[in-house]
Amino acid sequence: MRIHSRIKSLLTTFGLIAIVAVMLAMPTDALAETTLRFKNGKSWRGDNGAIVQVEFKHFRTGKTQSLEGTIVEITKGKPGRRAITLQTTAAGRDAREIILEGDILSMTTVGQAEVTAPTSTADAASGGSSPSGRTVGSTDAEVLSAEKPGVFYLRWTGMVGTYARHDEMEKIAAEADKYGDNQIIVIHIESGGGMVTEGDKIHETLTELKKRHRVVAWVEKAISAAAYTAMHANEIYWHDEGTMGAIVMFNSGTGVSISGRRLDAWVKRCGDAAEESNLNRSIAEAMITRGEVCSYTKDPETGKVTIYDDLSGEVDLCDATNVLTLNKLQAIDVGYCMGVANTKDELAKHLGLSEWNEVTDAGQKIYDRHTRAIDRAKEQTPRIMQDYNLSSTDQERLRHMKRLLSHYEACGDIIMIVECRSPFGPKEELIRQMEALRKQIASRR
Amino acid sequence: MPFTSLLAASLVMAPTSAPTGDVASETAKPVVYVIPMDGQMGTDIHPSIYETIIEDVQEVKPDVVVFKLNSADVDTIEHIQNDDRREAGMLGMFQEYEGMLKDIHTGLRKAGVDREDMVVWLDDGYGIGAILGFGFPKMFMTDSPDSRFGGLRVIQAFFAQNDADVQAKMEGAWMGTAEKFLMHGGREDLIPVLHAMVMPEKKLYAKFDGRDVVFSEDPNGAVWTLDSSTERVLNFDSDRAERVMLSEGSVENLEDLVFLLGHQDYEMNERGQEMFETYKERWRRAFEQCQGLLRDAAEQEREGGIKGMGRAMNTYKKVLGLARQYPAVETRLSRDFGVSVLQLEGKIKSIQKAIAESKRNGRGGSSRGRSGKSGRGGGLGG
Repeated sequence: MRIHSRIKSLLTTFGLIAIVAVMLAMPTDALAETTLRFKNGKSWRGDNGAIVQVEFKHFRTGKTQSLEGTIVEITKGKPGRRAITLQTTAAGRDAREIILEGDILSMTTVGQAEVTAPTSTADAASGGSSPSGRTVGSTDAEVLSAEKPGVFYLRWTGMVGTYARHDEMEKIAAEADKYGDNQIIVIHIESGGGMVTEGDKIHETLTELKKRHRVVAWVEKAISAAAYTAMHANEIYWHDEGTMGAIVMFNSGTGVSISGRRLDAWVKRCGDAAEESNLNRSIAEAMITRGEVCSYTKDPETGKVTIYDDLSGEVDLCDATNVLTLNKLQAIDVGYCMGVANTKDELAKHLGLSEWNEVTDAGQKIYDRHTRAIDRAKEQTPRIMQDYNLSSTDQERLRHMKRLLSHYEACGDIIMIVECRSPFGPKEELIRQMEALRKQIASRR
Repeated sequence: MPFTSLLAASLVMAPTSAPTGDVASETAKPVVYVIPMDGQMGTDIHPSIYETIIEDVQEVKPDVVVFKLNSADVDTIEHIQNDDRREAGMLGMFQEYEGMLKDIHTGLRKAGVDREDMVVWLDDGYGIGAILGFGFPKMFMTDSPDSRFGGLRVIQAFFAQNDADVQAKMEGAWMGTAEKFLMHGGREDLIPVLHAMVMPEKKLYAKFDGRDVVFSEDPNGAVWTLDSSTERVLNFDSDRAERVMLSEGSVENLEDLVFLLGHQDYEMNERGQEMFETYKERWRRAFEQCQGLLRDAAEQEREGGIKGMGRAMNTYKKVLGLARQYPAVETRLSRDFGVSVLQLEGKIKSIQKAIAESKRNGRGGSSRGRSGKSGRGGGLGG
């Protein structure tokens, strides 16, 4: 009887904490979505963080109004009696509008804002996490354990700096952190490169991440900044058709590559990054400029490879006319490929796992949410601009600018300027022009 | 097909394919599934149709899959330049072709097709389409002087840069993408061949490792010199490709090809061919229709008035519908007429707006207000 009650008390203590921890750690998507049903028979399904366009009958004026904004709260209650709180902008300022479910005529999701959910009880209490994304003041009770050994998998595709960013790496890292140190994080790279500034952030993120987790790059295509990224991993595996290299830094406006001290610094930096990951620095340096050449000799008996930073080896990897881009066979020889895996199951074997298991589906959600937001913004921006240009009144123009603003909120300035080619430039400029337009409209009244 | 090849093939293949009895020979008939890659790269040869066909392959589960490639940007008298440039392959979709090939291989793996039974048969591959000739484990060519494997120098267009380092970067990156086609096909041994076919400065030699030919840029130990020029790229005809053992053989027809694969008899599945032909015929008909519709729309716009504008709008909507239905139509509208889906949408919106404005102005200017025809079209002058 006494034993029974002790077990019961233990269960109450650890069981409850564990359940609370699991609940808080659950990604917001995992929580039930809400379905709102409107009087006219239409409905909307979604969650906090959704950017929506709502058409509703104003409870005071009785006039039909249209608003675009981010849902920050959906109250609980009986269907038909709930309300949404919409974060929106009015006269250039942030404003919150509460709209009753019964007043809504239609509601359409136009995007998804970045929602930062607390990752632990400590996070919730302290209101944030450390810069690396780790839980502050976490206790053993908050560390989750996976059902079976597995990985945290993140697809990392497209342009570096817009689609492929350090932000998503930090998000998957935060997810892995919930399960304690030494998790396996697989970054599946398929990118033709991108922005140098993002490369700096990736360097910081991955350098930190490697201190507590096993970072694996799975290379399908790692060109330029993506090759620099792959170099930071603890281990690199390749697809059969993988390719990696060509890290020449150049100004995309002028088409001129960097030179002089800047080039020397970049060569050194890539070499250092390679060495920190136990990769040969000559290989990394040869990816940067035609000035760096390299070759290797493979002992036919022992298979031992000697790499030279000149052309004295038997196999010329790159001479003074080209920069190095490795293929799978070369990468294996020079130690830039620890194994070839074309499927996740094949990769699992290389990683020492009996089977492929993703501890959570957070990586997929992080990827999907991010790429969907960009794809949508890319598709919509030219159409919004078309509508904007066809507008005959300032009110109309303002409405289209608001639509554009919601994409800025979902994607950020860089994506809106680089991927969507928004003519307004940064968000501040769009807001400034919206404000000016509002003043014009007000002055006419 | 040369007699010696056939004879050699029959001698080599006979033991594996020899029937052990009547029943066995009937049940052992391999199913051969032919997938055409015929016409313009980027329109006729488009990822969307292969997605559909590969789904069918997964259902059929054939023993042998033959991709019959016939895609040439220029005819055999290149210097005359009499080819319709609108029919040249879309170079800008190079990465999409690589994705398409990747998906094809993934689909074939799922269908349980053995790599040894994936074959590309080059009827004619000249220009960007020739890259697909590298994409499968085995390659055959049509036994004809007009059967070509070449024209890949077009890939150089991706490298053109003023800055030497940037040019080297682009060359590395794009050749990396080109090499992916070979990797998908398990033909990394042909990387030096690809390089010699794209870049004039690359040379090509052949050596032997036992009975296997080894292609190399290194002349040491070379038995054959295939390309010693630093000014010209390398191209092949079927005869040359067979002589240097780049192709497995030159064939006159599918029977020859299947025979060289070691099968004396086979069962043909024609669904892939039918699907491809239907697709090609339909998008081309839709494209032709679009050309007429665009002319009509311009005419209707000139007619003016709400009626004319309304008719033009509906005509543009038809074009838009076809462009959305067939990516190939959208691609060709863009290349041939500079008309994109976005522009069509914009055109429709602007006409809608103009109609609405006309109606509004008409109503505003009419003493009879909203009722009656007199209120329509009044404000169209502008």
